[in-house]
Amino acid sequence: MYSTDIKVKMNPIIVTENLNFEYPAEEGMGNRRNLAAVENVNISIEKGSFVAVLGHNGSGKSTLAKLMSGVLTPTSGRVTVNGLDTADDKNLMNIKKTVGMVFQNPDNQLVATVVEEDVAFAPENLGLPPAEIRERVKNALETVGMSDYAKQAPHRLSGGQKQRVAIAGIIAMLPECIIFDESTAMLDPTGRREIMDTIKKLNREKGITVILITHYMNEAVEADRVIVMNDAQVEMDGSPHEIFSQVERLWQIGLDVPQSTELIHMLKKYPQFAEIPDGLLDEDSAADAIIKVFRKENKLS
Amino acid sequence: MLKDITLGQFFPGNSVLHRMDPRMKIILLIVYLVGVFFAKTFLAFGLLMIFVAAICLMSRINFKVIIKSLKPILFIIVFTAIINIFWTKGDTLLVSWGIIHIYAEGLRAALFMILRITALVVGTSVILSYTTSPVAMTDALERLLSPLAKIKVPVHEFSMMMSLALRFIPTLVEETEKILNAQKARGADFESGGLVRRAKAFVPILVPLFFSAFRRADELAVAMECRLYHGGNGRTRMKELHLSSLDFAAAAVTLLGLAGIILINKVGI
Amino acid sequence: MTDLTLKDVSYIYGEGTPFRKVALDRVSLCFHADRITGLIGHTGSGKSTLAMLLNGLYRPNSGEILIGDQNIWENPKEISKIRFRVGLVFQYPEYQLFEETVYKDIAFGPTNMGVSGEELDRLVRSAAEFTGIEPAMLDKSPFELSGGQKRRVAIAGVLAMDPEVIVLDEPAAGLDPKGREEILGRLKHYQREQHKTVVLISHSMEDMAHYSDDLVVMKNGKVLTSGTTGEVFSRLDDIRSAGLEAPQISKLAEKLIAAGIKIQPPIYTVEAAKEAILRAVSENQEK
Repeated sequence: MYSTDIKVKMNPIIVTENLNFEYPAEEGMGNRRNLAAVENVNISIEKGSFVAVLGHNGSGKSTLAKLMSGVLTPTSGRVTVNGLDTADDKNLMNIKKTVGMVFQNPDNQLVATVVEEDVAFAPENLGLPPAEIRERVKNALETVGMSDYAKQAPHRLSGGQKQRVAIAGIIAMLPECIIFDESTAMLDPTGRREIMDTIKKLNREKGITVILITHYMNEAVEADRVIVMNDAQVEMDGSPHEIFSQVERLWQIGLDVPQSTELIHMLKKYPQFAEIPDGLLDEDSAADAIIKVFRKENKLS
Repeated sequence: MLKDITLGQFFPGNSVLHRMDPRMKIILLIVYLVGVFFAKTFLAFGLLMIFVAAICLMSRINFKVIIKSLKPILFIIVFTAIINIFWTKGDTLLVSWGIIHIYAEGLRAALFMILRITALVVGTSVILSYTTSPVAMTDALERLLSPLAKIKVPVHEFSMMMSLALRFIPTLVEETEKILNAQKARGADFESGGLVRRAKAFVPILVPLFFSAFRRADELAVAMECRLYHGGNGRTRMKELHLSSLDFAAAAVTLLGLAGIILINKVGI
Repeated sequence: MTDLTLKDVSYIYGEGTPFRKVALDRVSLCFHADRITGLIGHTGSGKSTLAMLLNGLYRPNSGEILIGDQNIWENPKEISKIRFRVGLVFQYPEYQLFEETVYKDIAFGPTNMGVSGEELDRLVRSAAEFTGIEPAMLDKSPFELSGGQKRRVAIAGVLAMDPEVIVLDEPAAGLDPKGREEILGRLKHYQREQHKTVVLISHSMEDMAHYSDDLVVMKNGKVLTSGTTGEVFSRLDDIRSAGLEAPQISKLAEKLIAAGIKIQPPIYTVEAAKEAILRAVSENQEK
């Protein structure tokens, strides 16, 4: 009921239909029932959009990401990428070329001992001529701002830098969409900022569709659309403003809201502040709203 | 600390030897080694030593480092030299003292053995390991051995495994250090006790290390698939290896040297 | 009830090599008994090195570290005894689990201390209780647990040694909001009940605002500023110059103050901001 997206869905890149996925129960885990990780998910990702998938650990958000990129195939239902079914092995190369994935641990996705050789990995697998590979590597490293490190060994870089190299490795495939599967979770605040800036740049300047899987609400705030996963299902779907207006509901499922949003939510219980709208996401708009109340009450010194 | 170990013993640089095509280096190393084993006279060894000195100078690697490379095999050198001195029988007896007889031939054999081992170790280190990055080396090996792929030898897979191993050695070394410290912080003792106790003390290091290595391998496999890896078929490389005039010149010099040594042997100077 | 004091402590990596790097530069500070001290700073500010120094995994190049009145390096052969008195929980500690059962893994530390029998059982069970590990979980393999549970088992493994001082390096890293709250909340509860000296290293200013009594801000291997949490948060400029971001709520409060609303800084929790704003509104009304 919260998918009150006003835009007409015209040009989807990824579509899921009645998507279900169950992990097989492991031996000796006590309960032998299969674990539903994704249940009846119907979403459609618009080309060029920036979508955040928010949820706590175990909510099914990472599984959903792997289903959308063809790493996992549905137990039932369908995922299509540009109309191609991920369950069909013939399509897989094409799908993986279209939808790139950046994972959580930067160390476990870098394959080479030199940065530029790592970025070259995907184009090499595509069988491109060396001159074109070189061109793509150069451009990709420029896009993520790592050109100066082209000849360095990845293990000498910081977490944020490693993750930017991993992103360059995906950009070099020239994908239409990149899924970031908790790619900021292991980074420090600086590294996280670096990655978020890179992500926004890719979306705004290069027109790449971005799906950001995260449990940090301050990252989700920067997206155009937020999908909240809970217990394997889509719990909420809407603009950041719409989603973060529902403070109580987010708390209930173990998620946070920005501190400014929380403050307004608490102040609204008092008559003077009841007029302030919900879902103010940053300190500027929240401060302005509070100042306006003080001004109206004529209580500014 | 574990981190300080330089792996592969590669010294980055831009010398003539660094710039050579690694494939040519591997081939010429084999030619050189043949030369080392063919040398049998003073003149031949003289020629060999001049060659060794020349490549050492050309590599621009610190002389101390090269001497250091001989340190681990010092024992072998001394040992074989002694055996040669005392056990080689010949015509010219120099010293005879009780059961000990030293012949001129023995001294000569010992000297040649010392020179041969030195040439072997220094040549291999300078031509290959010190001046060739591990990546270039696996690359060159893959390409040199690629004809074997036709008879179903998994050449590409081996070289991919080797380069992934090279990539992950520093990561795992770092991780080992971390786990070591974490267990030390819980009072693990790796220094005291008998052999069995010490071996057992490493269980708290090895179990987490294995688990983590498997987890990494799993994640890496998925990441590689996402980056379109599907084996060696249809794969191209960004860095092409080109033979330059430098390589041909090096080949000419080396082959000439080998011919010289063979000739010297034939003539017997 | 033990203070942990650093006097002029320096630590240098790779002394005598081209990679020489001063990680800590003549640091003097005190982690007070019965308080949670937050240690914050940019990556590379020296805070993780400091953690390794506090329990004797690294030895300072100069200066001394005192637990109570005792220099921890007084007798270098006995340094392992210091490690039992100053417990250190590393970043992502779940990767150090190795035993067949959760119980045995928690018991590893105290067993190394030479504790056995009933006393061992008591230590393991109370550490498990403090970290929220149910008795039924103790017989499971640690590798069957979820990420957050593993983390708590690893922390219990250090608490079980019953150290006087506990140093935790980013104990909540990578966890979701619920997981963070669970771990940090339980730690605070543990500290309040056991009156330990706790050092909490974190990047998150929001977590620091909630859980620490004192704060130490590090920059380039030096202490930039320190004091009670309130004192440090009233020096937002210092926090910023250390390359850290002030909590959103503090920035909001700054804007309100700049607009002429009468709020007393420091404001670093949402609750405090709400109270201050409500007070300002009613105060004005009386006039």
